[in-house]
Formats: sequence, structure tokens, C-alpha cells
Amino acid sequence: MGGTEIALLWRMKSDPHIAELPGEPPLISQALEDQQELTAVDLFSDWHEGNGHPENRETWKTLLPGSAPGPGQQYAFEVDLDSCSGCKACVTGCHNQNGLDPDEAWRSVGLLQMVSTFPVRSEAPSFLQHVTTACHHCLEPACLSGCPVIAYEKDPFTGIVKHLDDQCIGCQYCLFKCPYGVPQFNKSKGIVRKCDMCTDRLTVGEAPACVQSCPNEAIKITVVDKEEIKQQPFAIPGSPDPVFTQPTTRYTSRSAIPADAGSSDASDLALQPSEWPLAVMLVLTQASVGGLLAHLLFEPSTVLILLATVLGGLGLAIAPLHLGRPQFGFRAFLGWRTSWLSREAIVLGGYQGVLSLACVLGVLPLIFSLPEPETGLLFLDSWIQQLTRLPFLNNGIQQLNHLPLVGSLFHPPGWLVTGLGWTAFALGIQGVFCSAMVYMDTPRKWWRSKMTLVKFSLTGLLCGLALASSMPFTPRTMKGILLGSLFITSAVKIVMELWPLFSAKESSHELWPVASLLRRLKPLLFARIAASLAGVILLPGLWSLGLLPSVALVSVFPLVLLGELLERLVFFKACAPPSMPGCIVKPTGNH
Amino acid sequence: MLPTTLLAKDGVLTRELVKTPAKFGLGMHPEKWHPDAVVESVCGFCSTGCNLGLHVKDGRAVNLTPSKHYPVNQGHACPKGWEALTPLRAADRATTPLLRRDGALKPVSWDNALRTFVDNFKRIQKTHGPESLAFLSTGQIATEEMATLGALAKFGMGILHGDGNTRQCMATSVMAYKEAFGFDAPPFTYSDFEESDVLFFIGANPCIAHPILWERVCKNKRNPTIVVVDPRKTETAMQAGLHVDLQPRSDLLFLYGLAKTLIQKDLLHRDYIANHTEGFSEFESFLQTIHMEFIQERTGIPQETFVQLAGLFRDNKRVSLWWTMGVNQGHEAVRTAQAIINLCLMTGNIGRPGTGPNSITGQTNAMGSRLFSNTTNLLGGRSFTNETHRREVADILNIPIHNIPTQDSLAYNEILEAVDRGTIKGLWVIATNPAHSWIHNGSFDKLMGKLEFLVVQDMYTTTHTAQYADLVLPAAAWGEKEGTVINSERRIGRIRKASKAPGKALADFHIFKLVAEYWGCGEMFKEWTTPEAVFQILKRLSKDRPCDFTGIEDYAHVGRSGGIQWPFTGKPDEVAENIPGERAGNEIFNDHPGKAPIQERRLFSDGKFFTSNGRARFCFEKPRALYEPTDDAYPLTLLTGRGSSAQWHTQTRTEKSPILQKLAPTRAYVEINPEDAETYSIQNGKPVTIQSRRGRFTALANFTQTVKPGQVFVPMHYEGVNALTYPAFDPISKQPSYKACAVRVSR
Repeated sequence: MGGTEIALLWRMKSDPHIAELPGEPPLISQALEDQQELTAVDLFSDWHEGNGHPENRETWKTLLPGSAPGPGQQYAFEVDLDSCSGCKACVTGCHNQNGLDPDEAWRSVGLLQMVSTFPVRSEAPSFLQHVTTACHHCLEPACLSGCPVIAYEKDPFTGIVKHLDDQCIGCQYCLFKCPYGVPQFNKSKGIVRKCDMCTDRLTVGEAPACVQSCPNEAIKITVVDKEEIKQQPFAIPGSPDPVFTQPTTRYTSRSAIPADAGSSDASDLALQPSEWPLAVMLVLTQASVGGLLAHLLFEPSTVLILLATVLGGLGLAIAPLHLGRPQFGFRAFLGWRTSWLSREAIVLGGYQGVLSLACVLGVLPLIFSLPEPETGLLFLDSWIQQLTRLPFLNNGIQQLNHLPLVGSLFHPPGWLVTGLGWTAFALGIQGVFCSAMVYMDTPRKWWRSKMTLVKFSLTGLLCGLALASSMPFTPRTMKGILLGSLFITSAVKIVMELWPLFSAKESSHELWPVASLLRRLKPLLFARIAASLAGVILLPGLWSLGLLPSVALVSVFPLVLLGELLERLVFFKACAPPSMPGCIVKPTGNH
Repeated sequence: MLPTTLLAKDGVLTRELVKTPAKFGLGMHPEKWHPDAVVESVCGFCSTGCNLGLHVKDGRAVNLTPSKHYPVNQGHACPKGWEALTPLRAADRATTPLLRRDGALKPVSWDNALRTFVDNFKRIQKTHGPESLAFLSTGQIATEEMATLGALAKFGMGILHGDGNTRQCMATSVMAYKEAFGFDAPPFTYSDFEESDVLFFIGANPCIAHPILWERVCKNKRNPTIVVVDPRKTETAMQAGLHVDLQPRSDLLFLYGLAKTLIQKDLLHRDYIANHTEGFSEFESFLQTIHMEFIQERTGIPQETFVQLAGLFRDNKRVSLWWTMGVNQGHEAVRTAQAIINLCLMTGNIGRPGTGPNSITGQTNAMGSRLFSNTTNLLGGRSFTNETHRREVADILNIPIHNIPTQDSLAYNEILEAVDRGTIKGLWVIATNPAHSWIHNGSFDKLMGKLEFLVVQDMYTTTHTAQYADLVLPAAAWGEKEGTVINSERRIGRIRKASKAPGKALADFHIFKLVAEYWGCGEMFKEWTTPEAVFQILKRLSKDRPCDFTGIEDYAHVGRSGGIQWPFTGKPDEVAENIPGERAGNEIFNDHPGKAPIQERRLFSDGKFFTSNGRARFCFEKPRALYEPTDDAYPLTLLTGRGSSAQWHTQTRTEKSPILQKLAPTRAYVEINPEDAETYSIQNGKPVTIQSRRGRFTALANFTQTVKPGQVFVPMHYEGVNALTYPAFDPISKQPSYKACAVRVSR
């Protein structure tokens, strides 16, 4: 049967404008055209046109507080656990009613089950409790205090913690700071976004999306007394210590949650992102400070200060790669009053500035003094001098040198260079301290330990030792002492890094999750240890046995640096964050 | 104040999420998505039949909100409903017909595709005879589409065999009701959830599988006693006052035990039994042959529990018993469902508010399929083997009676067996994914290899089944086409077109119409011009049948009434006065004065059933042993079922929503009791191999006391689960028994 015949049998529209699609007879073209029509929409969509009121008000009007918060009060979520049956409509309701991106959720629902340990308690009751959670609009929001660009505000009247999307630079430090995993990084927009308790809705007396979408009225908005909530924070098993932020959400239930109930994802830990730009920044800036110290203590030349400047500069140049919106990175100083990240940015910025100045002033005489080639100068210095002896450069330099003012500028006094060098070092030490505080000021158990500060400092020290010991200007005996110190320090640091593996033997230990993740990072740990061992044992050993020339010691520093970089990746990947209860087989789970 | 370069409190990113008052009763709504129109459509996932307002902006559905003024969901939806539009936007939508050439599926024109389809099917039919073609349909398309497919295939194309994936979910309830009531007629309305004093949930987990029905339970103001009968301590069991954790597949014995206890305690409604039922005395003597001790031993339920449960029927309390897949997917499922019906009949818990033996349906239009798919039943719940029925249909449709097959179609499992035997050579699969869902499907590869021509009609090209296809026909999805569906409580509701289908995808209705033309039987369907025209035909087919809905005027009538339950003939007891301006009245529109259908109506309030003598029948049979009991080699019972509220069946749609993916475990897991885990040295969160005599499957262990020792539970959503299941079928409904087979586990 041909297409034309078929077309006759089909209900033909008398409308002649229906074009035949290439390769399709009119019958099919007609069907395709019908398919693309949406005329029915107009016919049936008018019935509540013009009605500006929320149609479903009856379903949620009792779930809003009768009055606005007074002094010492604020709004809070209240969740009736008994009514929550685990349907998770609140998550999708929030997602759709707030116009979030396809993979973005501001609310989540976790599951509490009985924690199962061996030997099995056969009398253990079966227990299931879903727990819905969003921002707790804390009394002491850590996201707010940690934000380097003051992109968080806590409304003094409602207590709602609101995020300023256009202010955000996407540093994601709030993701580290919030114990509840509330702020969500939106990759495509390069910023963090989070629940604002549907401020736009509350303002006009409408319920937040989650409240509206819960079929069982399990979520409502209440007014809480701040003092009271401080005294009686919610106690969901496995949830983070409320002391960090003082969350305001209330969870109510007629029956108590069994003591040995816990999050169903407790055994399903996910490796964390490596945050490599941060890892590189930390290690390079710390290596820079160590290199500077080696320069100040040992070096008659400028190689190490040049290297320190380059390392520091590189570290600070790579750090913004971590930002979702690096073009606004300059705002990072704004939060200095409360944010260690701000302070780190300011101090390390200052360090790099002073260091660069010291470096330039240190190198200038090399160029302009044009002394006879010195013996014992390192290759770099002699290269610079060789360069300045090229005829066309040499002429220019000679002429500049003869200008009185310029001449003296190019020959800064030694005390100035040294003074700037030590100033930079002092800033560098403070920078390393700020870097450590960035992590120690989070609710993550492993990072909070003072060991973080020690580790960061030792990274600098190790790099300094490696550099000082490998330089040709260092006398052989000093080299021996430095390499010995390098070996001992490395050993101490590696033990410190692996400490959770030794200390967390029981699953109840607070570092157990870290230890579990460390075990999953074995290849990385091996590489980290191998790099260090090659740098601090193998090369120096061969050298001390006379099997390697001194120049081979130049490789010590790169190996030590590599070891430290790998250590820092582990530092990020293995640090399990605290969280509200999660689901079984988490989507982010990495098995 | 800091300059905005330093401190930007407003800007593009902030305004992206700003909410302002929107029209259509939405209240504050993201400004970027303020709709131009809101189109009301029943959700396309499950049979709860929630209504969703689809927000159309610039000719595209951008968002949705659950409809407040719909009697089913009253402003709420489950996560799948909220995300119903996301699967339409998936990248793997079928946008053009695909034909297998040189081993790969390649785009072809519709003309080419339809010619190839027709040529191959006609060739097969000519070579191998009328038994050689079959179709497998679905509970996911509109009633009008099902009827068009059924009529086209059976009356137009001469295909003898066709069945739907509803065989996997509802066949049991169909047969149970049919035998007991004389017609497949679920008697309840959702307000029964709110009107009951006692609710039994037997093999049902509404908290997860039907969250909006659980919402209705929560609205019950009568302080009801909730009993959950389930081997697992499900979310619903957690919420229940009483959890009867019986042994897997001992439900029939349990129900007989309860019936015995009711008789023993004399908690019967003798008048009701005498006036409205038949077969009770036979049932009573049958029960005497089963000993209570035997029941207690097999079910693991003590005598006190039976007494306690029987006591719930005291004082003329309103008792409703609800069941779903836990019952339906069993090896003696029909008798189990009927044992539930028997309990209601003997205690008079039927036809009154808050009572009834109530089957909660699975798919959005399983009920439409039950009446109009023209597969096992002839159109309108008729029988192919009944000549009067054939005559009625031939007259109504104005087709020669000899075009109507005189034999019943093969059931789903029989069709696949016929494929295996080589009898069926051509198969047309519409909107279902048997390669994942069919029981014991480890050998599906081999099975599909035996076909000469496989046509898969689906919205995605990536379903497991589509990978075997010789021809893929791109279908428009829910939300891209018009029609009606029927929910669990017999409510006919509209599905609506609010979005354009991608590429050359066509509504299933259009595809069937085109196939008719290319087959050469288009003349037979000249009256079937649009879905709404078909709806008028369906009305005629329903006339004087128990499902008579001739009182419904048209689609608009359905829409403005908040759906209309069958039967509806417009009789005085079916309608009430609608008062204009009072939105809380019967109609969701306030501008249609006059009589409107009463929104919640239940069946059998007069005690008259659809059997020839008007009495309901007690149906029963001796319980049978499990086909595959556990033994030393395979010591654990495998239970399967729904995992989370964010997953639907084989996940072809729900896996397309990143949000739903966040709400569901993304990898298969197995729930195992810590005691068993210890026995088999399994670690929590670590991979476990589950092995049956038919296949193996790997999942992550999840220790939980919600499954008892000796049992493991795996959600059905993950590919490969059904390599394990045992192909046992209920002998009456032919529904597969997914809920119990013997397995072993190892690290």
C-alpha cells in the first residue's frame, strides 16, 4: 500500500499547509504534526487564572507559628519523627518548588537502624527511623564564621542563616565548616547554595516548600527560645556534636530512639575529594617557608630565596583553581575578623609580597655589581652573571650603574635584604599557622587535632632540611647532620600521619572512619612513604657510602616534596566529615 | 558600606532563585518558572493516581505541583510524582525509528520502519500461522491506547496472543475478584483508609510503595489499629500497632488460621453470610481439615496473636484489609487474595465505609488494562470464549464477529514459553522491560535469539529489552499525549499533553493507528480518530457492564470532576448537587452548577454482587508447598520487593532523575540479619554473592534486624535480581511468584 493511498484512509485535515516531511508520507507527517501541537493546554488551563493565593493553604496553615519570633527567639524547623514514614517527598518538593538545578538538593533524608556489631545480640529489636534534615539555622553558624567573603548572614530577627549567592567565590570552605553537610556546591554556577527556610515564602505567610510537600505533616516551622535550644539541642544518634554550631532544629518523638541505633551509612564511608589545588598550595607554601629558612641560615647565594619565591608564588597561583569563581577571589580578605581562611589568604599574600621583594633586592647586586666571576657560586648565580655579560645587556647595565641614584638603588644594603628576608619568614610562620587553623577550626576530628599544625610545620622543616643539605655550598659534615635530622623528622612525621591506623582499633574510636579510609588509600600511602624513603634514606645512604657524588643530593628535595604532596592528598581524601544520618549505599559511595 | 564589587548582595545568581507570587494558586514560586498555563494530569507512575498540575512555559513543561483539588492526593505527591517530568528530558529518549542493520540499530524513516514491521509480521504469520505472533503490553499507557492496541492486534492483525506486564502485578487480584464477586471489581474508595477502625496491610508497604495512600491512613481520625502482615519489619510495620512477622509464603495458612479463629470465637456476621454469600458451610468444613497447630508451626505465629487479631473484628468494628504485591506475587496468590475476601464476607466487612477486601494496584493504568487491554479479557471485562460477549463487541465496534478470536490469549509466561519452543516467532513489546523484570530471566538472551522479529516500542532506546530489538519505535511519553487512566479505586482520570515529544517520537495511539493503516486494516478504525473518540467507544463498550461509565460526558467532564469512579451512569445515588462558588463541593471547578459525580463511592453497599445469583462466593483451596523450599545447599529464603519510594520498577525512568538517584541506593544491596551475616562471615557494606540454582547476583550487604534470620531481601530495581528468582506461577492467575526462592550467600 503506497503512502498516498494510506493518506486517503487517514483522517485528512483539509488544511493544505501540512508539509510532507522528507522521507515520510503525509499520513506520518500529519501524525508528527499532531504530536507537536499543544493546543489543548490553552483550553484547560484557565480555570484558576488570576488566583494569586496559594491553593493548598489549608494543608499547611497549622504548620506555621502563630506569631513572629520575639527577643531571644528565632524560627526553627521541627520534625515529628513519628509522622515521617520515609517517603522523601520533602526533598523533591524543596528541589522543585525552589527551582534548583537538576542534581541539587537542599534537604536530605537519612535512615537510622540498629548498629550491628559482633557478637550479634539476638534480642536486638528491629528499628527503622528516617530522619529528614536541612539547614539547622544554627545559633553559631560555622559556615558564616568561616566564610572568607562574608557571604553568609544570620537574620537578626528570624535567625535564618542566608547565603549571598552573588557574593560567593566558591571556595567551599563552608562545606568543611558545616558539621551537617548543608551547604551544597553548585559546580556549573561555581558557587555554594543552601536552604534559606524559603524566606520568600515565610515573609508572606506561606510555608516553606518542605513543609508544604510532606504528606504527613511531619515538618513544621516553630519559634524556639535560643537559650532553651542551646540547653537542649537535638540528639539524633551519630549526628555531630551540637557544640560546634548550636543547631536549632527540633526532632520530636513519642518514643525514644534506641540507644544503639545509628546511621545506616556508618559502614559505608566515602573517600573525600582530593582538593588537589589546596594540597599543592599548602605543601608549596610550606616548602617555600622552609626553603627561605635554609636560605637565611645557610646560604651565601640567592638560589634558595629564588626557589622559595617561585614555590610560594606557584602555590598561591594554583590555589585559586579550587575556587568556583576565581575572578572574585580578591574578596577573600573580607572575612578576616572570624575566618581563618581569610587570615591565611592575607598572611600568605603578605608573605609572598615581602619574600618577592627580598628576593629581587637580593638578586639585583648580582646583576649590577659585575664583579669578577666568583668561584663557588652556584650555577644559577653564575648563569645570571654570564647573562649580564652579554655585550648589549652589559652596556645598558654599565650605563644604568653610572646614574647615581639608580646605582645605589641597585645595590641595596645587606641589612635591608636580610631584614626583609627575616620579616618574610616571620610572616611565613604565621601563614603556616593560619593554614593549619583553617583545618583545625572545622568539626572534622582528624583535622581538629594539633597534629595538623605539627604536620604543616614539619612539611616546611623537611623541605628546608632537604634543600639545605643538598646545596653544594653546605659543608660535608653539615650535610651529614642535616640529612640525619631529615631522616628522623621524616620518620616522626610519617608515624604521625599513620597514627589513626595505630590508635583506632575499635569501631567506636573517634578516628575509626579515618582509619578505614586510610586503609582504602594503601597505594597512595605506599607511594607517599616510598618517595620519602628514597629521598631521606636511599640517596643519602648511597652518598655517605661514596657511591653517589654530592650533586646527586639535588634529587633529595624533589623526592621529599613529592612525598609531602602525596601526604597532603591523603590528608584530604581520608578525612571523613561528620554528618547527619545518611542512606544505605550512598550515591557518593566509592566502592 | 562596601562597594558591590566587594560585597554583592544581589545580582544574577541571587535573582535566579527569587520567588514571587505566581498565578494558578501556586503562591510564591521561582520567578524563572512562572507558568503560562497549568495542565492537570494524573501521574504516570503508580496506580495511586495522584493528580499533578504540569506547569507549561513557552510551550514546554518546566515544573509541576501536586493538585490540591483532587480527591486522591489533595496537594501531595511522592518523590517520583514530583520528578515525573525529568525522565522526559533524558538524553537517551528514542527520537526516531531504529532498525537493526548489520548488527546495529540505525535510524530509519517512519515509513520504512512501519513497512518493515508489517512486512516481517505478515511474513511470519503467513509462514508459521496465526499462533506465531504475540504482543507484550503494559500498565503504563492510556486506556484508549490499550484498547486500540488490543483491537488492532486481535481484530485487525489477527494476532492471537497478547498479554501485559500487569500479569506481573495484578493478575491475581483480577482472578480473585472475578471468582468471588463475578467481576474484577475492587470495591473500595480511598476514603476507606480514613473511615476504618482496623486496617490490615498484608504484603503491602504503603509507606514506601504508595506514600500518598499512607497519607490517607494518617488522615484517619478514628484512632485506628494498624496490623501489618509481612515477613519483614518494613517502614509500614514500624508504624503499625501490630506486626505479624509470619514466615515467607505462609500467608494463605495464616489467613485460614484467622478465619478458623473467627469461627471459633463466633465473631461472624451470620446475617450477611446468609443473605449475600454462598459457599460458607463448605469453607467452614474445609477449614476443619487444617489444624491450628499446623498453621502455627508453618506461619510461626502463636495462638495468642490469632486470638488478638480475631478480637479486632469485635463490636461491629470497621475492618479493612489491604493487600498488594506480597500477596499477588505468590504461588497460591489467588487463593490467598480470596482468603482475605473470605474474611470480609464472613464478618460483613464489605460495602460499608472503612471496610473491604481491597487490592492496591501497582501501575498507573493496571486497572485500565484489566478492563480494556483486550488481552486475557475481551473489551469491557468480557470473555473471548463467550459468544454473546463476542456478538456485543462486534456490534458495538461494527466489525465482523469472525474477526474476534474465540480462544483466550496465552498468558505472559506461556507466550515466553512459546517463544522458547519456537512457536512464537514475532513479538511486539510495548512500554515494558521484560529483560529485566521477568522472573528467572537469566536465559533471556537465548530466548530473544529465537525470535525472527522483535519490535520494541518505548520512550528510551536504552532499555535492556530494546538492546535485543530488530526494530525500535520511538514513543511519546506520559506528559506528551492525551488519554485516560484508571486508578486503584476505579477512578478514571485524565493524562494530558503538556510537553512536546522529542524528534519523531509519536504517541502510542498514533503508532497503533499508523500500524493499522500500513497493515491494511485502517478502515476498521476509522471512527477511532482521537483518544477522546476512542473514549466514547469505550463508553459504549462499558454499557450495561459492571464498569458502566456511560454517564461520563467527555474528557472535560472527567477533568472538572476530579476524576470519576466507575460505575457512573448518572443515577441519582451517584451524583450530588454542586453549588457554584463553593470550591469545597464536589467539583474542582466552581463554575459548573448542577449535578456532579460524588467523588468517593464504594461498591456492594446493597450486598448485591455481579455473580449470576448476586451472591459473593467463598473460594478456597488446600495450601500447597513452596516450589523451592530452602535446604542445606540453599538455606536462605530470598524476598524481593520495592526498595525505596524514589525507584520505579526497572528504573528506566527513575534513573533519569539525579534527585531520585540521590534518594535511592545507587547500587544493589541485600538486607541480611546480622546473625546470618555472622554465620556466613559477611561484612557490613561489603559485596556479597547471592546464588540460587539458576544464577548469581552481587550486592552490598546491609545488616538489619528488619529481616529475620533465614531470610534475605533484595530490591527488585537492580538488573540481575531476576536471574535468581524461581519461575513458579499461580495456577489460576499465572502471575509469577517473585517473593520466595532458595538462595545461599557468600563473601
